[in-house]
Formats: sequence, structure tokens, C-alpha cells
Amino acid sequence: MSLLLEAQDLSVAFDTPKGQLQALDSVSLQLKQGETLGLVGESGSGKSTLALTMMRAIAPSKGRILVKGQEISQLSRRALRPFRQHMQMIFQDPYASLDPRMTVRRIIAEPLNALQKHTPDQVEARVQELLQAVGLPAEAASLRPAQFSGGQRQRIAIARAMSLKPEIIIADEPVSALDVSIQAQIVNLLQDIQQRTAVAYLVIAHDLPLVHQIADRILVLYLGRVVEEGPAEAIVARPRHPYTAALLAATPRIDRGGHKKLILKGDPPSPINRPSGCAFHPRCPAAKPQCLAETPVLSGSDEHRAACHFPGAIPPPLDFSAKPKNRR
Amino acid sequence: MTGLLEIEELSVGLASNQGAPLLVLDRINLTIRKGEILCLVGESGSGKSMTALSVMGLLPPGVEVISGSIRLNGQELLGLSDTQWRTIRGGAIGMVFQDPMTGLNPVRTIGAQLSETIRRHQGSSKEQALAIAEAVLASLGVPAARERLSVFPHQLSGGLRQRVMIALAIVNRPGLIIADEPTTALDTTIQAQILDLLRDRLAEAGGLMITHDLAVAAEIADRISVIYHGRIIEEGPTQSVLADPRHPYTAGLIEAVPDFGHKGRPLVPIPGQPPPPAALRQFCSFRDRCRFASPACAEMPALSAAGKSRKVACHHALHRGTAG
Repeated sequence: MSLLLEAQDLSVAFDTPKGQLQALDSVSLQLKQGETLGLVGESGSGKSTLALTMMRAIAPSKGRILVKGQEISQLSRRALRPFRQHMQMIFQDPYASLDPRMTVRRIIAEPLNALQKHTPDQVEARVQELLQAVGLPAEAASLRPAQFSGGQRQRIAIARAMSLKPEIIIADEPVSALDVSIQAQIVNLLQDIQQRTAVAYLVIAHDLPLVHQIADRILVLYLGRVVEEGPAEAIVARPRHPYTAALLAATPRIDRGGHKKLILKGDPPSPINRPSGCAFHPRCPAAKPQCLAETPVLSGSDEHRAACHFPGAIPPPLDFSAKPKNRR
Repeated sequence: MTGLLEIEELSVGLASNQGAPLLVLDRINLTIRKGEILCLVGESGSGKSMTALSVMGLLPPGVEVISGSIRLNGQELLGLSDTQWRTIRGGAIGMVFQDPMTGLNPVRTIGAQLSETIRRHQGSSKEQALAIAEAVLASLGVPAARERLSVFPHQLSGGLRQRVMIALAIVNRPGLIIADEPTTALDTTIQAQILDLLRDRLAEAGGLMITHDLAVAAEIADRISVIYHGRIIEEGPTQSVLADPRHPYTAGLIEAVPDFGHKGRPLVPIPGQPPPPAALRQFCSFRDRCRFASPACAEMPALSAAGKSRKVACHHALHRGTAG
């Protein structure tokens, strides 16, 4: 499988009145064709900055972004255009991301029309094909976003993102603004589309059970650094970094059997004043003097790596050997 | 048995210029006993926040109680004057909202806001009030509580702001605490801290918590009531409802949520979407999304007993093993 999208040692810093904010610090990731990579982190972890940087909406201060092996981090707007076709984005809030004055037809056709390669008939045929692919009726094309519910609007946003047959879709919290009964519809739609088109997803979300459901691999971010990465099953069943373990333990669950309790104290520190050494040490129940002095690097097997001096110090909080949830 | 809070046959509607008001709550019944935490679970537009606002006397303009009764320790709350409400809110009823930035006054210090409510309801002196304020913040795990009294809400993190909101809600030792999505805006690790605090505080009095999240309800509630399209469709003890849901909607919600157990299998969504809040209720509101729907569902089912401490409003209530 070929590498579609790559970030190498990507750093982003912002100047603020309170000092320099290191939003991302040497983040690397790889995304292959047909794969889903989940990015998990809390506010201030840098996960949305990472998405916007990959889209070149924010300029990195260091590091490289490669699309199919070609570096795009320094390209001009014009030179970026052909790459933009390959990468599309879906946002959290389908009430804010669709222009309320446009018809659904225009919203979905806009990227196609911008290419100026298609006749109006071809564009219309593609719009109808896309509406069908996302489960909306043909009549939807003539209506405006206000006439749709949140879930339907997210379907419109997905149709628009699909219009240029992108190979990569970056989705920033694609279902967190939707009602629970609708979230599953959209998650299944995204998975369906992936099976049909082999599109690769970079999914950013705070919700670990959701990311575990849709991602092949998971990257955990804390204060702008990758603290753990690995296959979704391994991250959830055998977390190596204490922060990942704490996130899992803190996730509310309907089935509370076999759930070990661990409540982290305090708030995440500000990215303007990163703690020395391992940035997680002030909240880490397993911190030792070494953690204040030395910044840990990602290590472990190629598949599953954690940036921790004492990986596995906290036992896995979820017990998968316990009897499964009472399925009906 | 009489409860701490008793909501009986509460109907709330939007005033309409075409005669009859449009109902958003249709004959809601809820009882909370002393020391009990009840979670009212529902999606947007289900009427869960309208229920909470009714109990706090804070329904928005254009929305009014049509009929029913809300009693706190036997005292009828409906029809109270604005002055009477002011002694109840913040006194007998404490309130925690989702977004502490809107629940707190941005231009007054934490100390000023806390001491105002302490002095109004407890008649304390300024010095006494500040001492009480500091003690309650400290009891909620706010570090350097004394210094925090002189800061403004925007100077605090989201987690600390929510602790200040909880302090405002509990400082006058209310008999009932209402929390409307108190952890929805918080990060996962902070949510766990706040749920831990709320569990203890709500259980000291009695708590009505509003949430869209069944997993949050599982963490904190003694009992759950599920609301759909302005009606309670299922209620019972938390573990019992979650392990053995009787209403197809409750069962569907549980199946639709990723819970680390679905990996490799698609989620089971609930098809369609809920009816608009003010849509007429002529038949079971869930009928068009329900895989068990039959001609019987043309008649609105009543909430009726379904086993020990359980109630369900469904013509085809599930029993262990009937679904899936």
C-alpha cells in the first residue's frame, strides 16, 4: 500500500501576547490508501491545528508535509491547487460549514465548477450521483441547508467533500455536533464510502470509543506532541502511555463492568508554559524524577510506540477478558 | 411515598396564533426522592431542557406551562411570583448549567458572585460570606481558593469555572440540585473529575441531571427517565434500564453508541430522525423509526408498569432476548 500523506517532524508555533505558543512539536504521521488514522486529544492538544496544517491552511514553522511523496509545505497557492483536489475536509459543525444562501446543488458542485473542466450536464449528473451516495433524495439539490437537519447537513458536507473524488479526507470531529441516534448513521456512511472508494481518512475526535470504532490506527496527542501511536485495538486494550490509560479510564461507559477508576488531577498545562521533561509529568500518577528532567521520545515496536520513560506503568483500565456487554 | 420533587402531568406549550398551543412537553411525570439522582436522558428537541427550565421557573418567553403540577417538598411551584422564585432559585434549588461562561457573570469576581448569593439566602455579613465562599471552593478542590475569590471567570480554566458554578449551586445547601448537561463542554479527563464531585453533591440533596449521554447517566444516576418527543417513554433504575431496555428507542440508543465493543462490526443506527418538538402527537412518536411498529402503534401508548420499579410506553415492549 502506498503512502498517501505524510507529516515529518511538523512543528507549529504562534506568537501570542503571553509568549510563544508551541501548538505542535515535531509531529510525524503517515496515512496509507484506504486507511483511517484517528487523532485523539483534549483541548489544546493541537489536533485541530494539525488538521489545518496538513491542509496548508496554517503554515508550519518546521517540518515537511508530503502528498504521495511530494513535499507541499513550501508550495505557493497556485502550485498547491492540484494537491487540493486530493485532499478535502469535513468540519464539526454542519450549521456553520455550509453557505446558507446556496442551494445544495451549488454547494456540492462548487469544487467541480472551480475546476472548469465539466459541462453543466456532467456537473448535474455528478451532483445526483453524490446525493444518492450519501443517502439524500434527488429533490434535495434544489433546497437550501436550513431545510435540513444536522445529520442531513453533514451528509451534504460529505457529498461536497467527495465531489472531486479525493484520495484523502480530513474530518475534524465529524459527528460530535450530532445527536447520538444520528451519529451512527454518519459513521456508517463514512465507512461505507471508504469501502467503495478506498479513500483514506484522517479523523480528529475527542471521543475514544468513536475513534476506536472507525480507525485502523490511533495517534494520541498531548500538548502538541504525539505521546502514543499504534493499532486501534492495541491502544485501547494495552495502552503504554499513562495519559492514554487515564483517558480510557475517564471515558464514561454504558457498561461499567470491569472499568478501573483513575481520575487525573488538575487541568492540562498551558502550551505556552510547557512543563519540563515529559509534559505530562505534573498530572502523571507514575511520574519519577527522570520524567522532570528528560523529554521521552517515541519508542517501542514499529507498530505500537509510546513517549514515556516508564511505559505500561499504569495497568490497562479496560478489562476485555470480562464478559461482553449484554447484547440484545 | 412523597418525593422531594414531584412533577405531575406537566404539559408545556408554545403559544400559537392558531388557537391551541403547540405542546413541547406532554403530561410528564417525574419523582425524585431525597438523596436520589435522576437522569433525564434525551436528544436535542426531546424536551429535556424544557423540563429543567420548568422546574426552575425559567421557561423562555412564548413558552408556558399549560397544565400539571410541580411540587418541591410538597410546595406547589407553578404560579409563584417573581419574588418568591428569587428565594427558591439559588436557595431551595441550586442550578448548574452546561456552559459556565453563560452561567457566570463575566464582569464580577468569583468572590462577589458567591458572596451575593450567600448574603441573600443566609443573611451573612460580608466577611462571613467570603469565608463561606472560600470554604466551599476549597471543598470542591479549587486550589488557592482564597486567591480565586478576586479573579474573574475568564481567568479560570473550563474545569475550574464549572467548579465555581457547582459552588454557586450548593453553597446555600439546597434541597434539590438541577444540572443541565454539566459536563458536555468539558474534556474527558476534566469530565471525570466533575462527575465525581457532582455524584457526591447531588446525592447529599437530590439531583435532577439532564444529559444526552447514556454513558454519563450510567456513571452518576440512580434512576433514568428517557424522554422522546416531549414524553417520558421509559424509566427505571439505571443498571436495570441499561442492561435490559424495554423501549425500542432506549435499546436503539444503547446499540448506536460505540462502546469499545463494536470494532469490526458496523454500528446499528436508528433510522430517520425525531419529529419536530411541536409536531402533533396522534400516534406513537417513535413509530416511524421503529422496527417493531405495527398497526397497534397508531394509538399513543401510555407509560405503564413493566416489572419491578420499571415503566415503559410501548405496545411492543421488549423483554430480555426479544430484540436483535
